Amino acid sequence: MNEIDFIRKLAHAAGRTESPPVDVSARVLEALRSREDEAWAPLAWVAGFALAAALPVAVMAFHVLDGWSDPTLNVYYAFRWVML
Amino acid sequence: MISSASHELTDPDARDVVHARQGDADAYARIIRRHQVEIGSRMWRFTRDKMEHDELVQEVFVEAYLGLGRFRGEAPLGHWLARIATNVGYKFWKNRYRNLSYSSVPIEEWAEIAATDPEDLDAARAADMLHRLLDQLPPRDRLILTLRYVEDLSVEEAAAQTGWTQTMVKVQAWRARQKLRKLLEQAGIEVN
Repeated sequence: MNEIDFIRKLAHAAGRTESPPVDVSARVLEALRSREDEAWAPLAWVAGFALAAALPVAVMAFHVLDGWSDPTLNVYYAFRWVML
Repeated sequence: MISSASHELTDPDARDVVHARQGDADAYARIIRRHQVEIGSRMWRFTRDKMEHDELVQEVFVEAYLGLGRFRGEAPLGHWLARIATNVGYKFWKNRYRNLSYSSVPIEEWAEIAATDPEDLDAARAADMLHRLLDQLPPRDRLILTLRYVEDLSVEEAAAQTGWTQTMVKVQAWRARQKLRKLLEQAGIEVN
């Protein structure tokens, strides 16, 4: 008997055993869903940081814009007495 | 184009692959239910532990879903899944081999196997012994011996399953046989 005969002999006998029943469909779909959620998680962090950075800029921009005035109005105010 | 459309209509796998790629979970669940028994029996060769077995089958279908975009439909889906199953099982063996503690089989048991007729061998015991014997080989050798001599695949089929060249399969199988022979000789079995 050579090494392959030996393996084949065992494999032949082992072939009569049955593998345990499996039903993995629900678990696979669940695993895929949680993977998708995990894939979005880093993006959510990036979005959160971007929002946190953008908020002070937006508030500052609002104040700056609020303080701006139309240059033509400045001219109007300077010469208002003439118009009056 | 027409033939591929009619193929989708007649082949449930092809139809479900198209739908699963579009995100239809039910279609993918149908694919799993259709192939899980076959994959389950294949993965039973990689482990004898029911929990690990379940996890391996699950991993095959997760990997398959993630790679579904690469499935070109030239071969049946079952063949493609079998290849993924082989890769998953091989990776499992490689991870396990790093911290493996051998459970050797007593010499007298090997001698008894050698002398017994295959039909008279207890199936569960034979499966367990085969597993323990191959467990002592590096994963690469174990994989090729399993494919060639346990699953009885041809060189061409084994090459398709592993992604190796046919020459590589032959060389690897030869090396694995030498190591197996040495193992059996160490166990006190006379090998011709």
